[in-house]
Parts: sequence; structure tokens; C-alpha cells
Amino acid sequence: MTASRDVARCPDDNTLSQLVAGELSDGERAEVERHLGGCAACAQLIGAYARATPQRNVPPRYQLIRPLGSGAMGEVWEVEDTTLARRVALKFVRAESTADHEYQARLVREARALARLRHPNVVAVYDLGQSSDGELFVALELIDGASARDWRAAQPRSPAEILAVWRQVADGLAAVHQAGIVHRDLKPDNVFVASDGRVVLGDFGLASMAADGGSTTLTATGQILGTPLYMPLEQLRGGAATARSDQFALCVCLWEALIGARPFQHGGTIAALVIAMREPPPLAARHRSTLAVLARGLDPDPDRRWPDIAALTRALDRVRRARTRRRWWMAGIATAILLAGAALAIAR
Amino acid sequence: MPGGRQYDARVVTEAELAQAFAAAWSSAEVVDARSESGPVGSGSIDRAIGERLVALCAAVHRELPELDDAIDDLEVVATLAGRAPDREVIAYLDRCHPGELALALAASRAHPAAIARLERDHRGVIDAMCWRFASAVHSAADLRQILREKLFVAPPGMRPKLAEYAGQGQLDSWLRITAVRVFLDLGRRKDRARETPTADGVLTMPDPGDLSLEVIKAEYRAAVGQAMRDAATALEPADRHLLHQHYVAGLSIDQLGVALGIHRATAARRVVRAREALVGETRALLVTRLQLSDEELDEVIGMVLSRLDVSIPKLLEVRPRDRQP
Repeated sequence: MTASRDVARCPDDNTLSQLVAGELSDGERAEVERHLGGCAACAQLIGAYARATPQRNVPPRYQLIRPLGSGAMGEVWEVEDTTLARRVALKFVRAESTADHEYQARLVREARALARLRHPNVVAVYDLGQSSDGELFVALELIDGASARDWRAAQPRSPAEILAVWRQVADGLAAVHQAGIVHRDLKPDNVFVASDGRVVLGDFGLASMAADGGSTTLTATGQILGTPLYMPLEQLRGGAATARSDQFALCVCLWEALIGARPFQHGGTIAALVIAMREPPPLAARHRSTLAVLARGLDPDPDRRWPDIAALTRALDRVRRARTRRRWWMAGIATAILLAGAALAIAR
Repeated sequence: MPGGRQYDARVVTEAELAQAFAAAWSSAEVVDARSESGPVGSGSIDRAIGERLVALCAAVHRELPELDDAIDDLEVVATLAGRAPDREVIAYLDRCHPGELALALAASRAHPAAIARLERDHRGVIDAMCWRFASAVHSAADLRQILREKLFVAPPGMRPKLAEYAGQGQLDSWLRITAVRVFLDLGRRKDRARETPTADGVLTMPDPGDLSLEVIKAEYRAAVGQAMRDAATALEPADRHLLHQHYVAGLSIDQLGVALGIHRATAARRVVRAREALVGETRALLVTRLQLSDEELDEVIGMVLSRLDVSIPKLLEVRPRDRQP
């Protein structure tokens, strides 16, 4: 066919929008398609339109804006909730995993438990649904801010600021545990510091639960899912994730945020990491008393860690108060010396 | 108020609506097709259409209460009339999107509340398109601003782009298509500045030697290449377009469905049919052009099929031509 054989007028955007929406009659459609066969410009436009239109079949309530990220378990998208006119995050769970009914049931159970939980430091769950392709998705609060990792790297932060951020994470985590939920994948990338200063625990390992009761972090091929660098020994060995393993992860995160290095060194292999974890981590001179509190949370034996997150935060608060008291003491002594000096000067 | 509604501190009557509709309708381009048989006769229209127009305007005002004073019922009705078919007008009106049309028209007159409402209701598609086309040259925020200007700001002596929306197809779809058009033009302008255009702007057709048909005996190769090219030329334009999008532009079956507003299964079926048409025509041409036994022909066609995915893109290169106004 030569391009010039079919030189009907180019359809305007009204007609093309009817075409893509499937609103044309058969006759009108045939005419437009005939035109597309001879007009490179219109064919290019329609092709670009298709490429630019996200392909997931979410309920009409949600309009996909852009992918925010994707992991082993599925993608997270920024979407517009057109009913309430607000932005939310949709976390999709890959279709293969949702084929598993036990898995689906667990996902639904955890999403419900999280939805009931209302805590300023825990991401809000708005909705749970299924795309027409069978993918489950969870609609979550969209947080305008940076991950704790990026927040830490953006500029120098004082120890007090760092402790304040992770203190909020601990509060959120304690509430989550109280609701009977285990996070499973706590790391600085899953904690968000919102632009208003609020710290939100997000991206639950909802999707990292395995069918056999959430105990396995190893796939059939022995691959570890998630980031092993924040996982305790028992989780690395394929044991169940518990509140105590979340506590371990929290301690690794805060340790790293405070001194810029994780407590256990590894030469890039899981084997080396596992060996390092058997010994108590060396306490740096700076923040020694805080690190000592964290070291208990890093014990290879879950039973010897802090009983719960609340106990851990109480211990951290005691360290902070002691430091404050020490400061007051120092300030008091300095003032006394100054006053004494002044008194001497006056007396002369 | 029987058959009328408040607009701009006065009542627009059913008669006025009907008149506005009829006037725009009879001045539309296809007037000759409907002059005799259509329900319009010398400026008056069917009573049922008039009543439908009144109901439609009332619904529009209910949908956009905050824009009550910004909606021009007569303009809405006249715009819808401009594309009305010559029969089954009521069914046509039911297919249209008058609320979105009224919003677009009010926003195209720079009514602040209308622009705010449109940007709120449709920010999802607008943002999605801007993110999709964002590049090192234009950030998503840049593109949003460019699109905004295009949509809402009138060039001297003209109406803004948004005034072109005629209530056909959802406003969301129209915004997507229009955004793609604006952003593609943006890229093209840049390309033009950088590159010197080719002599005639026409892509040349490939040499038979380019068709990756080396597997076919040398004596037939030229004939097979020619037959395939002729077959591609003889394809139905719609089939040609389909094969072009799939094999040359690289659209997946899912994306083809999105582009043509059809189900993916339909898209897949149509691609298969178009391929078969191409191969069938090639075979038919070879029968008349080469004296081959059936077995030999089958062998040649088998080789053509095995090379098809490689060959189709070269066969289907479309000659670009300027978009008609």
C-alpha cells in the first residue's frame, strides 16, 4: 500500500479518544483504522499513547501515576484515588504468590490487622483489592518524604536527632507487635521521615510471608529474600520471624545510623555474616552506653534479647536521661567553679 | 420553571436550547447527508430531542454546582450538535459526556473555579502522562506547566486547546491523547532543530537483499522478496497498521489492545489473521510468478514463515507524510 492511497483527514483527538476508549461504532472504527494504516503520524501518536498508558487493570477508582519501586514481591505505584481525590500508594503482590490460597489468607489477615491499628508511626492501610488480572494490592498511605537511609545521608545529623527518629520507629513497632503483627523486613529503606518530621514505619513484609506460616526467608533455590544485613541468625537460618527478630533489626538500624557502620562485619558473604553474629559486636567509645543497650537486642539467642520493644526503649531512655543528668552535673560543677572564682575575685 | 433553567441570570428555555442545537447541527459539515431524512426541518427539531437537551443541561448543572454561573448551556448544546449524526440523535446524546464538556468549555474560558475543578478531577492522568514523558530535558514539572499552558491559555486570536474537546469520549482519554500529541510535538521540534531533514522526508523501501532470506535458494530469493513486498502493499490498511504497531513499533499485544480500545484477545486474534493474510498473499503471488511444485512452494513458504518476524519490520516501514489539517 502506498501512503498516499488513503488520505482521509486525520482523526482529531476527540475521535482518537473514542477509539482508545472503545466508544466508536464498528463503521467509525474501521474508518479510523484504515487511516492509521496509511498515516505514520497518527500511527506514531496512537503507539506512543499505548506505551504511555500503564497496563495494570486496577479498579476505576484508582488511576496509576508512576511506579515508585519494585521488589522481588511486586511493584509499588503512586496512584490517584479518584473517589477521595488523594494520592495513595498501591502495593501489588505478584500473581504467582497470590495463587497460593494460604498466602492470600495471611495477606488479608495482616492487612486487616494493620488497618485496625491506628498509630502515627505506622503507615495507614486504606484498602485491599484485586486487579482484574488477579493481582492482590494493598492501598497504603503515601508518605511525602525520604527513607531513613536517605534522610541520614542527606546531611550531618546529631545523635539526638537520630535517636529521636528511631525512637518513633520503636513506638510504631511496639504498637505493631501489640496488634500481633511482625514486620519481618525492618531496614532504613522501609522507614520514612515525612517532610513534616513524622517518622512512619512502612512497607511491611506482608509480601515476604511464605505459605508455610511465614517462617521461610529462603526460596526454593536457597536465595534469601529481603535484606539479610538486618536479619538475625534465626531468620537467616529460615526460622520464623518474630517480634524478637524485628527487635534485632531495629537495633542494627539504630547502630548503623549512630556510628555509620553495621554491628557485624562481613566480607560480602552470608557465611561471614553468620560467623560475625556469634560474637558480641565491639562497642565504640562514642555512644558506648547506647550501643551496650543495643548489643543486648543483637544477641544471637532471641531469649536473651530485651523482652519487648518497650523494654528496649525504656533502657534507651535511661541512657539518655543519665547522659542529661551527667551534663547537668558537669554544668553545675563548671558554674560552681566560675562562681567560686568570681567570689574570690570580688573578695580580693 | 417548565423546560428551562437558570443561566447567567436568565432562563434558557427549551426552545432556545433546541434552536441552538438545530443551528449548530445544520451548519455542520455533513449537512447534506441529513437534510431530508433527519429529524431536523428548517431550524426546528424533534420534541424528544428538545426535552433530552433540557434534562442533559439540568444534569450538568447538578454535576457541577460550583460552576453554575460558568456553564453556558447553549454552547454545550451547540458543541454536541456539531458532531451529531443524522439519525438516532438521542442515542448519540446518551453516549456523549456533557458534564465533562461543560467543565472543559468553562475552563477554556479561563474560569478559575473550572480550571481548579478540572485540575483536581483529572490530575491523575495529567501527572501520569507527565511522569511518563519526563526526560533529562523536561522534568515532569516542566511538562505539567507546558501542558497546562497548552490546555488553558489561548494563543492570540485563538481558543485554547481545551476548547477542542467536544464531549466525545471521556475527558480522561482526550487529555491523555492530547498530552501525548503535545509531548511528541515538543520532541519533534527539538529534533528538527538538531538534524537536517532528508531530501524528501520519505523512507526508502528495503532491498530484497535486506530481507534475511539467505536461507532461500538464490534463484528464488529476489522473487520471494518482491512477492512479500507486494503482499505487504496489498494488505488491508487496518491489518498493515496492526502489523506495523506490533512488529515495527514493538507494541505488545496488551498495548495493542490499549491503542485500539479492544480486548487483548481480540488484538491477538487480529494479529494472527493479518499475518496469515500476508503469508497467503505471498504464496498466491509466488504461484503465479514461479513455476514450483507444491512441495517446493511449501518449503519456500516455510522458510518465509521462519523469517517473518525478522522480515515484517522491513516490509512495513511506513512512509511518513505530513499530518492533514
